[in-house]
Amino acid sequence: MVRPTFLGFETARRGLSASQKGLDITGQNMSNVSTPGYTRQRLDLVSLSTAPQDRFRSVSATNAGEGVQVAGVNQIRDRFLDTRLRNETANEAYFEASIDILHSLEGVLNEIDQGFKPLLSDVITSLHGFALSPDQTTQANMVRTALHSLAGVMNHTSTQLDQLSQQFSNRLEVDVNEFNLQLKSIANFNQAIVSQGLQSSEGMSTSSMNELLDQRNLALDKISRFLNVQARFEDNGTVSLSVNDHTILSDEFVDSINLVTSPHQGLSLTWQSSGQAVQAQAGTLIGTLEYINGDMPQSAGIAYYQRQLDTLSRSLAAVFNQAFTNTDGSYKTLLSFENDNAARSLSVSEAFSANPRYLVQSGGALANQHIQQLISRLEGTGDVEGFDGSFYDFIQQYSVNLAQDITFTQTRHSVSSSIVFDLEQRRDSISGVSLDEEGAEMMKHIKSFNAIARLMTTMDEALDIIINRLGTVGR
Amino acid sequence: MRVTGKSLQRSFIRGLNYNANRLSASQTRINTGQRFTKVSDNVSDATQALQVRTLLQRNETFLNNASEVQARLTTQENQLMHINSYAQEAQTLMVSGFSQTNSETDRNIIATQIIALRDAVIQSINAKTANHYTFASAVNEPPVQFQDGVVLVHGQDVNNISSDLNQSSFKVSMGPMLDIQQSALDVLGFGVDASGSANNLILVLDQAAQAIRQDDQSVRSALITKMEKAQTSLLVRISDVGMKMRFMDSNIERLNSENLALVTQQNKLEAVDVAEEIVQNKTHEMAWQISLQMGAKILPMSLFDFMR
Repeated sequence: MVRPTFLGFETARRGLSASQKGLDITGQNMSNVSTPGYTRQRLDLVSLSTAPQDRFRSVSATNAGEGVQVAGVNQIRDRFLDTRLRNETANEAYFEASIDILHSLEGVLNEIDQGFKPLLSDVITSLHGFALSPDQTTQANMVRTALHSLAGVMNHTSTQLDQLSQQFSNRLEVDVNEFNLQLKSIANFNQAIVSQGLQSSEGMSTSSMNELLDQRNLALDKISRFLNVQARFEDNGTVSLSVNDHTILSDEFVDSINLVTSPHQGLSLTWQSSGQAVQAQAGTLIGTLEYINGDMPQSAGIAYYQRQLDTLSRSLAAVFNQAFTNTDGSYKTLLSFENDNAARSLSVSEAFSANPRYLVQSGGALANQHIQQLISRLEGTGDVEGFDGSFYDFIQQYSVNLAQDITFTQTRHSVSSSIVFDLEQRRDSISGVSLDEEGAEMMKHIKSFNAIARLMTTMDEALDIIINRLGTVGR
Repeated sequence: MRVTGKSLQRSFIRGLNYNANRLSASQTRINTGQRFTKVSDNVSDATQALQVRTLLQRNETFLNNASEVQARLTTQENQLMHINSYAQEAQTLMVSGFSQTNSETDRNIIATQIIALRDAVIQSINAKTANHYTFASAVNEPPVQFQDGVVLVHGQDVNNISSDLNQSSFKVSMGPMLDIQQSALDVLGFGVDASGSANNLILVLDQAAQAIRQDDQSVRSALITKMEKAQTSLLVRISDVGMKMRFMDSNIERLNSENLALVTQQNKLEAVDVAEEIVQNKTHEMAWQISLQMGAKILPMSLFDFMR
């Protein structure tokens, strides 16, 4: 059982090397404290022993004390937390996209600062004046002016809704392109990781593996904002992605999304591979799409509010165009519109616009009655298409629905945002870099380095004794 | 749980944003003087406020209507009072005109006076307020024309009218609707009685003048009776207008007090309590500043700040 002469030096050399690597990793962590997606790294150190060992003790002391070995550099990451965070991020992004559209809608349809109720009230006020003097051109002109304002604001509002739809459609297109790019970049990272894995098994450098994983994780974080993507980590180091059981990334296969515009159904998202519609519950793509296309009260988007304005315009025109008759008994047309886009095309009729006398009545009780009936219809219920209430109620109903939708979505966004915040904090507590901790690590490595350097000196002194001072008695 | 610099930073920014948002919202409330600028800021109060605004605008329209109606009713009342006084004077003249002691000259003078009163009645019944003929019904034009002993109301011979053609009413809304229609037919009468003589006041006066001029005593009592009936009818009309004016007054009073209540409610719903808001604003500002200060102190700190 002979101890190798220079074993101590080797042990010290390994110790110095491990401490220096420790300092390198600490430096790497500190340098990347602000790098997005960076995961803190730790040096894996193991006590080196080349001798066979039984369960509880070294059977031979010859090779004991061989020092330390750097087994690798690991990332500290919790995959379960990543999955939860990405799922919740998709929800948060969905609500964010929804709120963005809803706020824009409220900006256009705000009844507090302007809106249709005061304009309709102006029309009714002008009709009250007209009812008192139905033969007066000035009063008819007041009605014409009030209707001009109402129609003008209706056209403007409807055009603004079209513009909103166009703006958000453009954004959706940008998001779809970004999603497709992120998907491709994850596929590229997959390939690079597999390639790095092969090099590692062949004993080549794996120094950039952790960085590749970080970049892929960052890309996964980013893509989860667009859709609620489910990730599955394969044994070969790649990640497969699916959306609602539709595989979008696996081995060599990479799918992409197409944004399709059809004149009747509006916008839709389809998979390039199957042509099927994208079925997902969360993410900005879904939030934006739903609130551009949403045409039902339970999913009221831009299209729904555009339809409400069309209904309001058609109903108003119907009431006004059945109020007064020509001498031949036919009704006078006071408001005209095009069927396809009633709100955008609503206008005071040519005849009335050309001359307010078109509306002037004989001035007696009969005219007064017609005007009073018109006022009653405008203030009463039953004249708005498919709605059991007055024009005022109709306007109020859609504004309040919009506001309630905003409040509800804000609440859900707030909850989702809190969960994301909590999960981000938890992920950060595991994977983030703490400068305090790195400072302590730095001190630990430098102390260890100092101690081993001292060991090296001690070993040198011991060898010096053996070589130079042993057996010198009597020399 | 490990606390990293990034988590401290995230937490700080979240808190700072929260405080800045609250401060900004409070700032907007102070700047606008309104508790909300969008319905979604406060759905329940904003919904009520929108209803109150509509009610206020309706009320203001009703008040405008009321002042116009008041002017018209006043004109109606004045003209009816005039017609009534003409009728009274004419009746007195008729009584003295039919007296058998009158000479022909006296009768001619009285007849001429009655004709003048007849013309005054026509003038009053065709009176106009601004652009509106007070007693016009179907169309806004002078309701009565008198030509060659025939009274035409809106072009129709009044003797041939058996019922009021203008059952229709001229209504003005002040919450409840008020009918302010007072047609020339209602005021002066129309058609003929069983004996075929005219009921219309103008024609009665015309016939009376002719009878007095010709000293025709046979129609004396019939004409005087008609005059009495006409006066009674006029008094009914005058009292009807008086009732409407009272109704108007009480309605205006009601509308004004409703307006006051609605404005109070609107203020309560929409207006910011400035004192309270400023206190809140200062609280939010302080929280925001504390966040900033704490952030400035905590964020750069780490073990490295204490290493030698």
